[in-house]
Order: sequence, then C-alpha cells, then structure tokens
Amino acid sequence: MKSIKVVLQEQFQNIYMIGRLSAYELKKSYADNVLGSFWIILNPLFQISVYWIVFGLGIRGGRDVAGTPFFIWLICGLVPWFFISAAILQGSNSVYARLNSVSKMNFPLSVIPTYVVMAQMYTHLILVAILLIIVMISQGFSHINIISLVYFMLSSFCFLISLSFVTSTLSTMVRDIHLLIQTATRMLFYITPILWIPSENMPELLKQAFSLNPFYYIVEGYREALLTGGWGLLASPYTLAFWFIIFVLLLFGSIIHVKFRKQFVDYL
Amino acid sequence: MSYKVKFDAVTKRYKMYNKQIDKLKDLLWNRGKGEYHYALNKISFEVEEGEIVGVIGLNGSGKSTLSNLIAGVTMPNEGSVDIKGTASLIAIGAGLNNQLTGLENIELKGLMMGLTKQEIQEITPKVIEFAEIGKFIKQPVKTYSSGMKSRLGFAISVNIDPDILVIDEALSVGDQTFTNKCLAKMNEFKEDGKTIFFISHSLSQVKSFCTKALWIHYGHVKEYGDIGEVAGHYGHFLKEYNAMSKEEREQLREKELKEFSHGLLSIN
Repeated sequence: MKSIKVVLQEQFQNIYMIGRLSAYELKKSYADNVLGSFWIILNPLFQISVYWIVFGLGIRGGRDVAGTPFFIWLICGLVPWFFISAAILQGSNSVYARLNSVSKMNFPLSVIPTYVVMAQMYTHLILVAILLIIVMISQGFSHINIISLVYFMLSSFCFLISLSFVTSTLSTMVRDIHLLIQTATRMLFYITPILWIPSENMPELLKQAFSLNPFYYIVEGYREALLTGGWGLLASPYTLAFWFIIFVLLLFGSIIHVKFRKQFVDYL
Repeated sequence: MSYKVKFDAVTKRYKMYNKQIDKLKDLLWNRGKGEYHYALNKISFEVEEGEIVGVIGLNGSGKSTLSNLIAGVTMPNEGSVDIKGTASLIAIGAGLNNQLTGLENIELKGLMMGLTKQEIQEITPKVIEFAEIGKFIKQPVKTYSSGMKSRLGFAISVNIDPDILVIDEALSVGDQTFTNKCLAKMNEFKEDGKTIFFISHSLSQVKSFCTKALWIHYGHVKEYGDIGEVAGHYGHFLKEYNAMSKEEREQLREKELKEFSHGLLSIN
C-alpha cells in the first residue's frame, strides 16, 4: 500500500514532465522516417486491409456480424488492439531501453512506463477519431455511446499503465521476460476474440473464462460503445472484475518497482 | 564542520555471475554466497562546501562507481552516502537523445532534472551560448561530433545549477579552448561555494584546478588530502607503475588486494 502511494505521488508531482516527455516520445518514434507521423495511420491501414481480406472476405466470405458489416466490426476491435499491443510492448521495454539515458541523473523512474503508454495514447486518439468518422458515415449517429467510449478508453489506459509497471520492472531485471511478453502478446491477439466471434456452441465455462480476459473486456467495450450504444458491459459484474485486476496489477507493480528500482542500474 | 558530501564506510560490490540463470536464482531466493567484485570497499571521507576534489586513480579503481554513488544513480550495499543538496553528474554523452535536436535535448534533460517550464526557458539561451554549436542546435544530436556532444552535455549540466557537480572524464574530448572555458565556469562554481568532484586522468588539470585530491586504489582510499601532497605521491606512484613490467604490475595488484581482504577479515 505504501508503494502504491509512493508511485502515485510521483505520477502526480511530475504530471507536467510526463506530458512533455510523452510528446517527445511520440516525436522520436517517427523522427527518422521520411513520411514521419503519417505512419501513425499508414501502419494500421496495412494491417487492417490484410485482416479484412483474409478474415472478412476470405474466411467469412463477406458475411456481416449481427447486422454490422464485418469491416466496421473488425476495425472497432482492431483499433483498441493496436493501442493495447503497442502499449504492452513499449511499456515492457520502457525502463530498460531508457535506463542508459536517465541513469546519469536522479530521475523518478516510475514515470517512465506512464509517459511511454501516454505516448501510445496520442496515436490511439487519432485512430479513434478516424474510427468514429467511419462508423458515423456507415452506421449513423444513433448507436454511438460517447460516454461509454471515453470510459473504455480511460479504463484501458489505466489498465495498460498498471500492467506496464509490472512488465517493465520484471523485464529490466530478467531480459527473458521481455521476449516472453512479446510472444504472449502475439498469442493474446488470437486468444482474444478480435478477429473471430465466440460461437454459441462454445462450452459455458470457456465462455466465462474468455469474458474475464481484461483485453476482451476492452475490445468488447469499444464495440458496444460504437456499434450498439448500450450500457450492458459497463453495468455488468465484469467491470468490477476488470478494476480488481487493475488494482492487483498496480499493487504488485508498485511493490516490485519500488523494491528493485534502486538496483535497476546494476542490471544494465 | 559542516560537510556537503559524506561517505561513511561505503561498500559497493557487484556479484559476478557465470550464468544468467544464477541472476534469476538470486532474485528469487536472495542467496548471499557467490563471488563478488568489490568496486568500493569501506570508503569514508567528508567534503566541505567550496572544495574541488580531484578524484584520481588507475583504471578500474572505482572512480566511476564513486561518481555514480555521489549522483545518486546507484545505492551502496553497505554504509551510507549523505549528500546535502542536488548533485549532477556530467559524463560523456549522458542523457542526450540521438534522434532529437540539440534544442529538444536541452528541454528533455532539463525536464528530467526536475526543472520547471520557466527555468528551462531561462537556461536555454545560456546553454546555447555556452555550448557554441551554432546552427547545429536545430539538427539531431546524432549528426554532432563527439566534441559537440560533450560540449552540449556539459553546457546543460552546468546551467542547471546543481549544488554538487560531478565531472567524470567529460572534459577529455573537448579542445583546449573549451576546456579552459569549462575550467573558468567551474571556478565560478567554486566561488559560489559549490562542491565539485573532478574525475580525470590528466594530472596536470587536476593539479591546476582542484583544492583537494582523493586517490582511490583498488576500491579503497589510498590518500585523501591537500592536492599538492596527494598529487605528488600519485605522480610518483604512476612513474614507478609505468616502469614496472606486466608481471610486476600483476604482483602489485595481487598484493594490494590481499592486504585489503586481510583488512576485511580482521574487521569482520
């Protein structure tokens, strides 16, 4: 509990720093490319078109998902997933990759995962804006629940930061963990129903297990907010489970972060 | 008397691992056994304000570990380091980001050192003037020469105005003009009653500029005192050391380390 307090305090005390550093982080990642920040849109565009052709036109043969065109259904799930996967991968590597440049000064290391995830949030915001426009044009305004969308964006942000505290600390100390997380993220993409729809004849137990998957909660939340406009998922007990997971991650992450951060430099 | 920096029986040791898996085992079970490398061993000294301490010693004697401890980058395993005020470490290229421009680096480093927005705006022109890199200030740091990098790094650190300045070999890449400029700046610091640690292999620079000298030899303090005296002894030692053959040097090392661990045994 004390560790959580220390970590949260550092976040709020350095909020201006986090904002500026995340802006630089964003700048840095596209600085070397000729097309620059255009890649923020270009990269997802390529991925979406591949998934659409393979899964939408190929496997599903162009059939829609409960009245929604597959393409729209797909991008509503893929856009949050791009955010999730980028934040997990960058977050996990965040402390290790930056230790060299920050190690020569007295710097609150706990802001590193936060500003790295924050930088991913900016690109995510741009994609969500584009997504909103596409959904509005094709499906109309009536099914969009903006409040619920903002809630799911914020809650995924909190979730990813808490997760990054755990992963960044672990993968700084044991480098294998970072590779493990890379593999796990790739698997998670298929375990989480993003490209496929959990079928009706799946065993009930398996279905329950899937619903507890926090990533599924986020992806489903986005879809609900954009396509049906209801409050179903938000009002369900899964919200409690989701925030409980966030709390556990934050608690565990803060404890190990505070415990090991003085030794980070020695692990380089 | 009031001190600025106080080391009290400080020990910093690094465990030597043969395999990566041993590192993991250590994390999980916190075993004490294994082979250690003592970078610093039971070092004690005090430095008053307004002193410029030249830290001298052979390669691998623990100078950089000492500077990291003063700057708060790493923590000692035993003993305590007491620093009054903020310490800033200047090492070659530390904290500069290659992809960002010089100007952006000034802000970034300022932020990381905990400066406010106004403070950063205040120091920026001073840094640019001091670093003398002209129009390159708007170019990415990766295009800089090593001299330019170190000038920029030095200019930023100096203008951040720390209470304690640790200069780790950072002047060795600058040309004579810039070195003189830095020395002049450091004299200003001296008059302001700030404490400077100057780590250098150039005995003449240390002599001309420092008030005290700290001679570190294989992880312990060989001599600490007035610059003239210690530098004289060190110069004498260097002459002898250079004249030695490889075997003799090896013998000396063995002997020193043995005496040293003897001392340890009797203490324990």
